[in-house]
Amino acid sequence: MRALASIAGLLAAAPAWAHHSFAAEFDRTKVVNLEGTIVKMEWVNPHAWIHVAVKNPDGTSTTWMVEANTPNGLLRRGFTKKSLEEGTEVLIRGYQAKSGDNKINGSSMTFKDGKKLFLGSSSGDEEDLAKDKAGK
Amino acid sequence: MQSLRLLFLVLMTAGFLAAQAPKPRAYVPPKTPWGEPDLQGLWPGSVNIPLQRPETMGERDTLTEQEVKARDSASKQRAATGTWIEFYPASSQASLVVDPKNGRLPPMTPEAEARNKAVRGGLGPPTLSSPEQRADSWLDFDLWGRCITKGLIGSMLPGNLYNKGNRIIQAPGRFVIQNEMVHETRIVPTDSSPHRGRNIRTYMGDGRGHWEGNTMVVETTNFVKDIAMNGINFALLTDQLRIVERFARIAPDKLSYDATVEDPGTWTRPWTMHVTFPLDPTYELFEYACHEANYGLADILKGARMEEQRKAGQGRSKQ
Repeated sequence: MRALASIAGLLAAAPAWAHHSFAAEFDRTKVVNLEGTIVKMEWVNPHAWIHVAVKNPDGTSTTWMVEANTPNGLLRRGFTKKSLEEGTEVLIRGYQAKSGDNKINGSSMTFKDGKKLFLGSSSGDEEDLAKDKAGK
Repeated sequence: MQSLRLLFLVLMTAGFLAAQAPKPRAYVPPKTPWGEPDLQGLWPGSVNIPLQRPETMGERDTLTEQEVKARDSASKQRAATGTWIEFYPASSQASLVVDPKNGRLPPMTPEAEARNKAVRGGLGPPTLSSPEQRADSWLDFDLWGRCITKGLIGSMLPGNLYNKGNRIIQAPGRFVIQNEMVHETRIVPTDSSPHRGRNIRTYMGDGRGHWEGNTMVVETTNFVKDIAMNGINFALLTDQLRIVERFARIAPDKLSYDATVEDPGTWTRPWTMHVTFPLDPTYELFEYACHEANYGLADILKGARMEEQRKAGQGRSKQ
């Protein structure tokens, strides 16, 4: 599998927040595209985390963690434990954590056959966020 | 003249019959085996009503058809672009707050305004988004962000983001209210036992319930000081907080819920919210354990430290 973790300084659609403020945790200017294989998935609250092994050009491998929706939200939309098995090859797009760690907030996931799997990204409610900030 | 007499007779007869017609009777809920009104079931907050209404609406408490459509389409858009977020259909109810009549929270007392303004060195009480301003410690996160609670009545507010399941379970002497978000379960004694001692205080308070006809009335006191309700989290409340909730099954598939909130240490007068929860026996209430894997909190704190280092490095390079 071709390795890569390309970080583009792009301004993408602006996610806002879910359980936590998106802007406090992730950098919306750092869009990351990962191509790798599933190592494991943590079905934990408040958000599920998917671990992906990405091969580097020198042959080594780096594990990235991808934040997904809450387990309840995934289950309600048909995402089960069988949806993403170890070793599955995937392409994932998301935004890198401000901590600089190999963590992203996942916005989309595509399988080799082109099928897409809902991941959930903490995007959306700019209006409520503004209200929250204004204390109204 | 004859026809007038006939008309009079017809009207009298109609009036008599109308007076005899059975009046529509109020819904009587089924009873539990021990004889209480049965309110048990899954009552998710799957309805979209904002807490407050815009000031421009004045005392108008119902939306026009056009306004309902606009609220619905905004909600659909929000769910489509933010896949975290679940779609809840809009209600024509203008706001959850029904008293005061303008559908807005009453003003805070001057003392409460000053007290809240001074929190966190002038930044105010922590909210969901406040770690964007400052993330120095866990105290810059609200109680929900810390996976502790959405508070009472924050946990009862419908709509919002996701996981809005509510369940009521009854047993002799107990009325249980469970909220999916964020794993709160209140076991309320209904056996006339007194409140706990005033020094025993918790985030969700100490509730005591009794029946008024077919309505379960739960009075909750003994809250910890300086908590905020998620969704209404721009004030840290005082230990004078007292909440009276009314639960009534008004149809086989409708639960009327009212909560009157009073905190003389915060607001100038009590206020009341109202919502009708729909019954949804198909709703699945999932466990929402949250604290152990709350990686986001650590990520945000670390990200803020990285940002400080970056800025410090820029400062040094300029010298």
